[in-house]
Amino acid sequence: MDEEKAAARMVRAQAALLHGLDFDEARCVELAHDVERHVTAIATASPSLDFNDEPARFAALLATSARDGKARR
Amino acid sequence: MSDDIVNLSLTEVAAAIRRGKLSSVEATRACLARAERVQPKLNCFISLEAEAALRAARKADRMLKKRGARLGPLHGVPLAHKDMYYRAGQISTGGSKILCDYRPTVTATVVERLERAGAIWLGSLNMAEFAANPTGHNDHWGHCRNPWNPLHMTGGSSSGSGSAVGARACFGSLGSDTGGSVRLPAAACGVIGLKPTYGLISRYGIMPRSWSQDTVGPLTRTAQDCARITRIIAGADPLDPTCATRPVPNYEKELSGSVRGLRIGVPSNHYYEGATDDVRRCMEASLEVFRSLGARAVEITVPDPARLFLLSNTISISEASTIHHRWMRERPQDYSLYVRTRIEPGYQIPVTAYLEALNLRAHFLEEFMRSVYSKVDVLHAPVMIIPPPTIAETEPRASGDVSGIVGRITRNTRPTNYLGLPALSVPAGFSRDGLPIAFQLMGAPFSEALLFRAAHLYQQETEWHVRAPDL
Repeated sequence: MDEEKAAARMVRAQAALLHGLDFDEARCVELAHDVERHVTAIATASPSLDFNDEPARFAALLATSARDGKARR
Repeated sequence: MSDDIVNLSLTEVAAAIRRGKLSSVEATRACLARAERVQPKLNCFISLEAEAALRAARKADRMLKKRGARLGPLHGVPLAHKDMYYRAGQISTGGSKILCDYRPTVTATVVERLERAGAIWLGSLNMAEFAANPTGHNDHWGHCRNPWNPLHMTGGSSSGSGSAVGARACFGSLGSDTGGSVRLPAAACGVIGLKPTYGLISRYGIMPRSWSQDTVGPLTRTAQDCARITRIIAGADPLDPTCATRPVPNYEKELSGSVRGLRIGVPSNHYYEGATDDVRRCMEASLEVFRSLGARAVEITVPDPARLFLLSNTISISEASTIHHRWMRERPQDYSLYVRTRIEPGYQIPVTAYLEALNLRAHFLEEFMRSVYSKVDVLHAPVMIIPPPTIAETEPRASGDVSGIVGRITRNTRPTNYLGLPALSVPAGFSRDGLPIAFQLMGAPFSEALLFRAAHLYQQETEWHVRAPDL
């Protein structure tokens, strides 16, 4: 519970300080849960990232993986 | 007579106009009459531009009489579009209060291409505010309603597109899909809807939701109609650097052929969890049709859709929170609960997490290609695990309700957006309560031609797309 409150306080402070946004305590608790869910999903996958990875590799991969509708006829 | 016209498909009406069997004015009047009739019940239009549409239709008819006139493939055909496609000097609301009198200074590339093809602009369609909910709720312009049962949601965010095409108030519509926003209204309203490969179609001049995942997609009644519109709007655009430069196939020509030997992957995980009996019944029946056409259904495990959902959402909320940063500081009260709730978490996501989510896309796409598309040609799965729920059931009472509603409705669509892959929503039948149910075909990058062919052949064997709501 303390951890939850601490997380909510951090969310509230960050929103106010960095973004000029004001959230009430209940909303901050929700946001903390939401953010944790998303950040955890990334943290569990990110060990597979390489030093040389960059976002643009995705577009290049789409292009090189193209099937142009080819499948068995 | 008017009903006969609006029940034609887009390609049928285009052919009738070209052959002089029907005038563009007649087609436009028929759509306007239908739009005016259904609007009080469905609220699918934000603005109906009757005078301008008829003026354009008369011009189209005059051109037909000119010897040697070059006619585009959509000559004289009335279309209507989600109210986020910019036309210089014309209001584009984004379904919002904040943009209620916004007049962009540019025209979207896809709008210009449709105009060059001869299409008529009928009006601007309702949508979820800022393309930010998958149900079609809109607190500012009124909720859009399902043509099969107005108490039920249309799906979103291209709510008006699904509703208007389903109601036969226009022959096709451009929507947009960032997490399911073409496929969901297409599924809920009983029409075809394409989420294309990311980068196939220019995003220049359209209201942004999430730059890295936004796609432009047509909603139509038939796969052939969708193929025609897609060919017109797809292709390189120097104004959109994310747009692919590869040549665009003639999708309509590629409709002929067979799906004999096509390997259809049926997910053994995630996509059927919580699916109702009606949905399962329609999915199995549709697979039977494909089997009768010589395709093979193969069970397959799809890598980690639940994680792909969260990774996609991380990108969406981070980018949306940036796009809306100024207004969220200056006028947060002008956003609805749905939209504000989906933007706010973005301010707490560390930038490193956002960038890692972007970087991971290539990794997960590689894995998908290796473990799925080396074994099957397309994936087949329900667009939604439930028939479209009621508007009341999907109305959030508090911010805590939103992620549950959104998660349930978009669980099967959003993972595809993360991977940038194409997916086509196809009508597959009806629930016992008479509500549309749809499957989606998900393909490898730039395999739209295959998706269209499979859907076209399916539609030759079924009549779901011919059934019209009683309005």
